[in-house]
Amino acid sequence: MLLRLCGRLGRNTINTFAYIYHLSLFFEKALYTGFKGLANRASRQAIGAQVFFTGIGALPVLLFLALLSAAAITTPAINLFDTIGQDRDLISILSQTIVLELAPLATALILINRSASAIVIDLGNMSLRGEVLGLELLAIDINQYLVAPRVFAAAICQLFLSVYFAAISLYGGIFIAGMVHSHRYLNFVDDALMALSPSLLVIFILKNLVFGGVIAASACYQALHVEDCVTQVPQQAQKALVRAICLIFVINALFLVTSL
Amino acid sequence: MTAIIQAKNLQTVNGEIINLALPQNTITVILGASRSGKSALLQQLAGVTVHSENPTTVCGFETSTLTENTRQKLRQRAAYVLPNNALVSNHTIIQNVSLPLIYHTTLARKDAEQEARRLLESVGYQGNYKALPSALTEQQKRLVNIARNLALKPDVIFIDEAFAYLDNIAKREFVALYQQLQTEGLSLILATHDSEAAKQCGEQFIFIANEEILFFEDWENLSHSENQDITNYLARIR
Repeated sequence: MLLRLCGRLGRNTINTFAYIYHLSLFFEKALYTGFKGLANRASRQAIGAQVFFTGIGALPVLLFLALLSAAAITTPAINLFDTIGQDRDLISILSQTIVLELAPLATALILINRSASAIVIDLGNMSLRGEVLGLELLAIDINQYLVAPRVFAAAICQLFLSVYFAAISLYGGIFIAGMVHSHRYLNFVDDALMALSPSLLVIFILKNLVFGGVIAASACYQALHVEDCVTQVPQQAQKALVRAICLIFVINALFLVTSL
Repeated sequence: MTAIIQAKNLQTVNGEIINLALPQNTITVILGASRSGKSALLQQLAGVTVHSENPTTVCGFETSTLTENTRQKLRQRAAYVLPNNALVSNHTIIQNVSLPLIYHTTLARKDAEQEARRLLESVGYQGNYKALPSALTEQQKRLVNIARNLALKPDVIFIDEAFAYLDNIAKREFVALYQQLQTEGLSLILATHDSEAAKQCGEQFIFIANEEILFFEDWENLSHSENQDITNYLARIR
């Protein structure tokens, strides 16, 4: 029993590392061919279409979530400042927590649920119907035409959507607190911005670009594993979503550790 | 005549080794019953699959030594039409046919679409250019697929299940289309189990039965062959 348990644990560990290794290679190839493919019109147009779908389509839901977090997190936190004191330090902590942690994670989760699942279903069905093979036989590089545009678009959208989320969540919260409780709180607008040093902004940009890229790469990787049967599409979608969520939290932890 | 395809060491069932050389600007038909291995041979001759023990040269490219770069170049010169007509389902017909032109050439989108229209007209497509593939019949999809593969002006075109899903009238139209493409300078390798259509357009024939590969220089030789599999196959069709 114990031996079987150890065996299973060992196999799962090996599979996890093998998955991370293969995904890294896939991601690296997508980036390499993607940058090469930026000169190609068809690839650029594909990036444009993906940015539109991934970015514009996610704005309403992110607006809703950002306003909720403003009302549920930022405003109550600002209200607590009066009790605790040290306003400047506290707004700095709040600002960094929302911008560096909450916004990237919330945006990534929306992107995973919206775009990663759409990518797996779209690419998985294309793969199943032989459309991917059809394109390969036309000498069209799949990494350049299908994978890289999705990876680039997701990275770009994750960054801009995260900025959008952070701005609404932080300033929306300050605004609500200012309107509902005390106008004095509106002075925190400048303090919140000043709390973000250039190095923190670099971390914010890097983190979001990596999150977006990894989410799309994970979805494309799973989608291109659909081969024989239509039931593989939801199976691969499920794998892609769960793995992307796990990867995002692991990468977030790595950013946290390295930025300490 | 120069050979556009050379395949070496193809082994027949009785142990005989044959080398195949298919000349340029001809129509070669691979015949045989369903699941006899026609598609596998077609893929091998096209360089889509590679068997290291059977060195194959297509359009001057040795398929067993292809790099990513040379594979792309080969695919531009040797088009391969899949049997399921897998067009990109979220692209319109005109986008499907102009896609290889936009990807591989510097043609402006408008010019690429103009060229795509010309190609679609040349193969006899008369449907809606702005329709999605799901709105098309199998025959129309096949025409669009052929037009899409002609976009890069290949030297040779491999067509799997060349007469599948077609009624008798459509088959005659496709025979005429294949002959028209040949007169335009293209070499065609067709895989089919339809001997009647094959007889009408084929110039040379490869017959496969039980993994045995037999080459015939014309239909006369094939139909008078004493090979039991061919006799049975032709008798069953008659």
